[in-house]
Amino acid sequence: MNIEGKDYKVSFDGRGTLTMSGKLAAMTEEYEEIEDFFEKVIEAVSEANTTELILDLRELTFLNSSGIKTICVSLVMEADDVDGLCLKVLCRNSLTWQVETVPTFKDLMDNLEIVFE
Amino acid sequence: MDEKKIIVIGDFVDPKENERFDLSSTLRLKAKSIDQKRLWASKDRSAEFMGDIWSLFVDSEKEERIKTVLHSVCVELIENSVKYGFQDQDYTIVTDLYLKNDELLVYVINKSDPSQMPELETSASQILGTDNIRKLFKQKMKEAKAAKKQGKSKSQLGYIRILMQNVRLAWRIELGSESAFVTTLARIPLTKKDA
Repeated sequence: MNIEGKDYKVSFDGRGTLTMSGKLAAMTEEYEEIEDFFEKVIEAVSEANTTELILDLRELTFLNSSGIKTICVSLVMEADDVDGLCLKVLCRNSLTWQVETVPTFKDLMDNLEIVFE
Repeated sequence: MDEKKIIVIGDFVDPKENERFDLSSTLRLKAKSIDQKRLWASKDRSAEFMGDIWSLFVDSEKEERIKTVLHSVCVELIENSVKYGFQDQDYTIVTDLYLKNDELLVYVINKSDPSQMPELETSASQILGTDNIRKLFKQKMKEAKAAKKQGKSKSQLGYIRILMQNVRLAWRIELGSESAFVTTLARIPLTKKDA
């Protein structure tokens, strides 16, 4: 399943990898659609007893604060409520927003791993 | 005549003090009506353009940082102007940039509803008063999660995100009974010591 906006794409492979790419600085209403999408992803991994969810942000070159909030509140904090689930976030060192922001996600979830390449 | 009350929050530099700037640019949006979606779309391009163009005027080792930080700062501040701007009256959003003494000063000026000012004052004072920005980030995310359950969506994360990029913020509010002119200042350091 996936969502495609003008400049971005969010997709889930149905197994354990959620990928976000492009530039995402949407209006609040668009984030509601992405929140619903994340909710379905969390439901799917919970039902399948998945132990690792991968969030691949390596091709997401820009994200505004509303997008960061959406990931934190509707994905990271929800994933933290799923017993036994580890969230692995894939990032790029060359993307400043990721270097400055993604490490703070660790404050919201104990079982979270961040991999920079 | 409408009496104006001036409120200053943080280390604000009056734009009039920037007459001896090294470089300056202004983006001015003033219209009786602009479709909000169009304004939102133009905001992304305007912010990216400013990041791109201003990165050309700094030393090469600072180029990438200025490009990304300025883009991000302008996106957050112009988004706030669109979200909280006076939509019943004329849109007025002005983005002024000054390069001065190894510091890039970004002023975003917009016209807002006076009833929104107490919340802005409280939020700005809380953000500037914190000595642990990550702790405040965590607190705001917890509040945002609780607000989401009540069908609300405010987070004030935009300002926090700007501070996380080693950028200082200050505000000047010109408060009248009918409207409020809000000037938000983001101070981006360019010196090696701070940058």
